[in-house]
Amino acid sequence: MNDFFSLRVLDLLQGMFKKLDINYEVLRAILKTKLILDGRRAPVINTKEKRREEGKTSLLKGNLLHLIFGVFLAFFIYFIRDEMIRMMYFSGAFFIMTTMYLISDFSFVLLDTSDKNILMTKPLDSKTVSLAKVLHIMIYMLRLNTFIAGPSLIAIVMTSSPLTIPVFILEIILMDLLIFLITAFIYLLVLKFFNGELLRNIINAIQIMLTILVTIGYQIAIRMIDFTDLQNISYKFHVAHYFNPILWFGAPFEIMSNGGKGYLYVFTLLILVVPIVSFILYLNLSKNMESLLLKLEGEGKEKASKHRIEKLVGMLINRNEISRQSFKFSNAMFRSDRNLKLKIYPALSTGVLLPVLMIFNMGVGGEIEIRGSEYLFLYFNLLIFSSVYSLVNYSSAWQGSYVFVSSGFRETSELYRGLMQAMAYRFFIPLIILNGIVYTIVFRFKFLIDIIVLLIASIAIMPLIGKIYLKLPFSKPLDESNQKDSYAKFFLSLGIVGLMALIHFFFRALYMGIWIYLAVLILVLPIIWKFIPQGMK
Amino acid sequence: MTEVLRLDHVSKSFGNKEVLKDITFSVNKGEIIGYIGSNGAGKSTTIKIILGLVDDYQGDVYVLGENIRGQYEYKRRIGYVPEVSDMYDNLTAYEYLSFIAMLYGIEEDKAVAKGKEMMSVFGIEGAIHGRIHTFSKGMRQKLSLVTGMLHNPEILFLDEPLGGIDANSVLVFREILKKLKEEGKTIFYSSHILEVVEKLSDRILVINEGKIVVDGTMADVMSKQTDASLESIFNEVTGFHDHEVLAQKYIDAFLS
Repeated sequence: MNDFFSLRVLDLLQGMFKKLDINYEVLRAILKTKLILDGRRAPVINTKEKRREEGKTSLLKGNLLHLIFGVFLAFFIYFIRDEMIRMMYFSGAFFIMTTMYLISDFSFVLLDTSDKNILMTKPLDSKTVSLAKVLHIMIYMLRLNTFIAGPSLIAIVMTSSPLTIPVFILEIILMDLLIFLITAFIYLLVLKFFNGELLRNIINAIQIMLTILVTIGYQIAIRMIDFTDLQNISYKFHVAHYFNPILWFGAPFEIMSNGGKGYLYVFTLLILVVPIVSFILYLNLSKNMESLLLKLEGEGKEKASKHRIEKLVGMLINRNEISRQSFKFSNAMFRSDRNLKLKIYPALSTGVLLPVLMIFNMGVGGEIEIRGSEYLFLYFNLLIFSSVYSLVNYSSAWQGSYVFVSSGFRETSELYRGLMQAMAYRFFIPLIILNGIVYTIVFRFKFLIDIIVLLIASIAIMPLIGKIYLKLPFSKPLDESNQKDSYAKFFLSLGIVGLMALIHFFFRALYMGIWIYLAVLILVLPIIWKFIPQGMK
Repeated sequence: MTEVLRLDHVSKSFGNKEVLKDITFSVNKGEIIGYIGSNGAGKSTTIKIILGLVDDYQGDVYVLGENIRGQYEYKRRIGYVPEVSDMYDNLTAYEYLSFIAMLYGIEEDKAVAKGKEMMSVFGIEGAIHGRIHTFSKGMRQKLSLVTGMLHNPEILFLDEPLGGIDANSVLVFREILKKLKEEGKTIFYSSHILEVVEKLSDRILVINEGKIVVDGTMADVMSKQTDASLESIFNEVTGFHDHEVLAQKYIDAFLS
């Protein structure tokens, strides 16, 4: 086993731990094991990376995304002159990102119940075990801080007096404490009033949001922020700001550079008092947390929800019992497989982003000039389909797919039909509608008919792309989904989508052409859906 | 006889559900206790209380003469093999053995050598450098048996320990338990599989709906029944006689 830098630092404090009656050898052994396990855990948001082997991923490579975000944050610190405003931007972004990373990456530490069974059946005092847990989270946050806040520290050094450095570091520590406590309180509340399943769903939703934010967030943020404007904003106090922690953290810097006002001292006091009082409160409630965590021990039970719309859609579009069941089954899988969702939704978010980015790029430097062919950007949505098609072959519960084989199941065409209907219902139609809304906001109703054509066209080509990508659904381990499908498949689907865009463009150029095309699509659609799935094995 | 375990009027509720109802029994050194009951009868809760995993219970529990409430040092002298073992799956068996040894304060090299030797008895020593997540259910359970006994405990708590283990290893394990008894070790064996318990135990405790309904030596318990099998005794005390009716219901559903 490797030795870790953080543990060597901790070794320097072992005298203090021993004085506090902590079994340092055991504490170190637990932490060492946890850090080894962290190194081997597949990260939640780096979707391209496979399960790490033997913890060989370098520190920098593992934290590259954090560093990019950290550099981005440092720009605020460097460019903005108003102390309150720059710390407002910094602490706002820092709070959001650190909270999301903590929830996404580290919820398993906060909510771990297996730890109790492994450690508390051994001769260990709960004080040492609890401290190990807290230190584990602190080491994680410290690592995260180094990359997220490190560049900002350099920016502070470049723009302010050296005296601000210890204040900045102390603020980071207090922010960490506050973030940890807020997260723990949220968990406590959810577990107190709801069941563990809801908490799991919340964590999953935050993981998806973080993945989307990291995948596409920078693209939008960089285009939206006007740094020249930021340099000239100045802070104006309002009483409501006492209740907004994001605004407190600029106060010490403002006092140091421009002298104090009453509210600045209150903000400074709040920075210190709120985390400490919350921590005392947490210590009293953490005992309660242990018993609430028992709610997570049982396997999650999905609430007996009726899914009325889903049932109705299934009934309306299917006459065949097998395709109806397949529609229902696929929807249930998409609903319940959290890890699969973690891959599909970020892929879909790219679909929303690409046309939006194109519009943004058109508008750089002034008003958006409408050329009349912007609807073609929406065909990027159809390209996204191919990654989703590829993903539905995988699942966390892939082992269950043996039933297809053991039952001697033959009617695969109906199975695929139901699966593709579920994909359309759950992912593709909402994706196109969402983009349609964005287009309607930006261009009014100019492209409404094109959006309808695209919607019908996308449904029409689903079986064609399905034929390229689909294998037995949910039948392969999700870990293997990072292995890229062949380029041939991608180019084939690119060709189909390109052809559809070209046909659309061609018909639009004709008088009444778009209406003719729409009519043709409506006629062809059921034929494609009837015949194409028949050849799918 | 030295008493090594005593439960004194122990009760435990989860919410409104009373899982254990005023349980009292004691166990002497060197005994093999068969602790049997249906699913949900309260077997695992009893063991979790003894292990200190559940602490808000009524009554008292004494292990090796010490009231365990708020204590943890006594765990050095007991071992535990659960039905489904929580382990750090991304560690290798070697790393996990080292970790467990460290928690018990055993010298690492010695513990690993001992662990490897014990693993070889179950034929899994070749997997010592394999990650635990790659192990089959049986291999995991065998590793759990090894780590539960690595520190030479005086009392061994086994909660359905043989799930997924092959027939030959079950035979070996039964022999191990007999020899441990000869060494003066106490074994508290919880199971709903009556055949294994019947062959091993000196004494039977039957728990039904949170209450101890039978407590006696195998000979005592058997002598009270005409049909001298543990199965029939179990059916009698738990009031279960519907097996034929339920089987027919299943077949009817199966054939429909």
